Amino acid sequence: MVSVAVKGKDNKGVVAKDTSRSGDDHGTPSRYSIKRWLFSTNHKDIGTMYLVFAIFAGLVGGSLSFFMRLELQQPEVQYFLNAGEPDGHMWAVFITAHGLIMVFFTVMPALIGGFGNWFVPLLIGAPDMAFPRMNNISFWLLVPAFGLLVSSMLFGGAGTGWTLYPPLSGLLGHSDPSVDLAIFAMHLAGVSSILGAINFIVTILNMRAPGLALHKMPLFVWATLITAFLLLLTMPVFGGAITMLLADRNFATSFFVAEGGGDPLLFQHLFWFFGHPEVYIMILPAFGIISHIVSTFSRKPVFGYLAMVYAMVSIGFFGSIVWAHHMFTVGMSLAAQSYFTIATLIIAVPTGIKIFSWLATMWGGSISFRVPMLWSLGFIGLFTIGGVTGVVLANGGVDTQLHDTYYVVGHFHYVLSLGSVFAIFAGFYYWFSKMSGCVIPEWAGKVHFWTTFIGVNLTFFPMHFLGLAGMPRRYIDYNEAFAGWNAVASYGSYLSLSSTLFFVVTVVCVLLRGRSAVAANYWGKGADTLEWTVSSPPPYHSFSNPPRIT
Amino acid sequence: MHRFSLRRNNRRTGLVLAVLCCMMVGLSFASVPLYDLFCRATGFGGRPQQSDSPTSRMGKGYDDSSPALHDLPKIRVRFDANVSAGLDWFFAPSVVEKEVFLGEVYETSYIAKNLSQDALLGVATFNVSPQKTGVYFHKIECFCFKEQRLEAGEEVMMKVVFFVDPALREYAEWGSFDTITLSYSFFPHSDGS
Repeated sequence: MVSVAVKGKDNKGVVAKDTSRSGDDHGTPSRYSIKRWLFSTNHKDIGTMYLVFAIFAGLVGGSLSFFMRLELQQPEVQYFLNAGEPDGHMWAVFITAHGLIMVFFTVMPALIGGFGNWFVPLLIGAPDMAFPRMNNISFWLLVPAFGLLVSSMLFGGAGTGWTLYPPLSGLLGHSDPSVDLAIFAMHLAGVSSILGAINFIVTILNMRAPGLALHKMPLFVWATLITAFLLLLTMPVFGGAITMLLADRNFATSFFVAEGGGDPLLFQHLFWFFGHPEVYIMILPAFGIISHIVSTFSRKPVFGYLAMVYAMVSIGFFGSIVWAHHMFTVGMSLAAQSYFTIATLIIAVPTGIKIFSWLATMWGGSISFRVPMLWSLGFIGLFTIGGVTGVVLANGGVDTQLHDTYYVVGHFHYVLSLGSVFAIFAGFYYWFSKMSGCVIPEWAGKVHFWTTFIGVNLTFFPMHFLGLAGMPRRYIDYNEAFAGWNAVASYGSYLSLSSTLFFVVTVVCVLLRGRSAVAANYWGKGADTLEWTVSSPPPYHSFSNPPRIT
Repeated sequence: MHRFSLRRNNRRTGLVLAVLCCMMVGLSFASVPLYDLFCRATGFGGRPQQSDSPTSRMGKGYDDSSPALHDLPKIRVRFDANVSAGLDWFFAPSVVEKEVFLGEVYETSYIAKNLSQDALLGVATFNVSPQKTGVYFHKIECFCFKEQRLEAGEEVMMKVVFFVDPALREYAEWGSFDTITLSYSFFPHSDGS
């Protein structure tokens, strides 16, 4: 891709002279110094912390889902018991925590905070982020946010779902302070990502290496730029909405309280005004990563670079004006339902452009099926399945039937759990040796990929059948008729959890074994973006003198 | 690139973005009155209109003694009443339904009784169904316009004066329904003791 991006039309290749490559490790603090991590202003260190945090949070969120699948493996309630009685509230607390952790503390930190921090400065030839200390704050706000969310579970727990709809999230539904704590957690996480977004936009707009025009920028950088704008425009609205909710709960206001003249529906509008762009915030960086990998392992520049850029721009734009398709059942007028149906369907067009451009990139390419490429191919296939069920759900009439069924759960796990998460793993295997200087054996990556691939498909594909058959989501128990596919889904989830544990053990072992001699560009021809011009791992300070792009 | 000018540029861009972010926060709070205004103006979500005298969306105001009005079709209006569990009141319509001519002004009443030993302050929320008819349903007088105070054991008749805009006939889904339901829910008013 970036071959298009960086080389320009004459295809002469990158002439990037990183004069800082040697001898710029001076001043690198010790790896064991607590100050290095606590006070870090280095984009690589902060990126590393984000990645470690995301993996940790992912394990927490993943084990919550393990317990949920354990419970759903057979009808009736076996594990979520309180004094021998089924505890539906605890169940709701688990699904809420699973959703919030996966969205705010796993996928976003990994894609934006982790890979974004590590590679945006490297890809544009900048020495660091524009505001390094703000970058530090962004990360360290996330840790107390996570702590607040976990502590809310100690106060009875917020069983509202990640959507936090009132009146369930109001005093009527949750009289204990658990929802307040969850709101504070979201405040901190929101401030963290807004600060991060400002940092990325300023870095990308002002600090590109000379010669790197916007239309030559690698696609991952474009994806991060668009994501950052989406965050900046929608996250404050979410912050406002939950602040009003907090006031309703604690200061007797009635923004969303019907008896005081407020409207609970307004919260849904505000939430989804943020919530729908949020799903694009989670997938656009994934698109960027996949473009790099497909291009690298096909040894071809990405097909239709400009179309890829503007497809992402239009996905971001349309993604921001379709929020009420999450609310088809609230009693909208026919005209509003028609608008939100059609606008949602339109998003399939730029998304299709991206899928076909990836296929066209591979077409006629010299493809090697290395581990990152396997994850990317998995991403393309599974994301497309999720996209297609999304087109089904976009129809107001159909959605009225499928709303809040497992069909929806299947759909959004295909695009997020199998889409974004596959892209995270793809990026991880693609860049791991660049970041660490260590090498994950190819066989281990393949074992991880295939077990995860089989596991997640076993888990989520049957959910479509369950949803079409009418199984509602968010319940602790289900009709006997749904038992078969639920058991399959549970077995699949055990496989994917074991696969994830295998991945973590592998990475820990690889890191403990230490660095081996890794070339600067270990993927060879095809990987032609700027990060491949610096050593693996890169020096502590890279591109102190900006490279020249010709 | 000069470090100094880069720093200034970064700061400027960062500030612009921070302002943008603050504007979005402002917009989220502004959405509350805007949403209310929008519902009032459009009858969105089945919000009935409030008027001083018979007027029509067809344009001009009119007089309900005009003979032509009685050629207009009739529609059934049902009256519905609910009380929140937090308010110890009896509340019911005195007439359950009425056949009304479009454009003509009618009066109906609800019975409310305070069942508790204390004076209670209540406030009613309201809407009509089908929701799209909200914009055609006008109330000239209603107990729901402000909070109501009932002494311990007090029973009152509460008045509603309303009319249905003749322009309802122009509405695309006219004919697909024969009833408009006007619904009230009484809640304890937050200042109530």
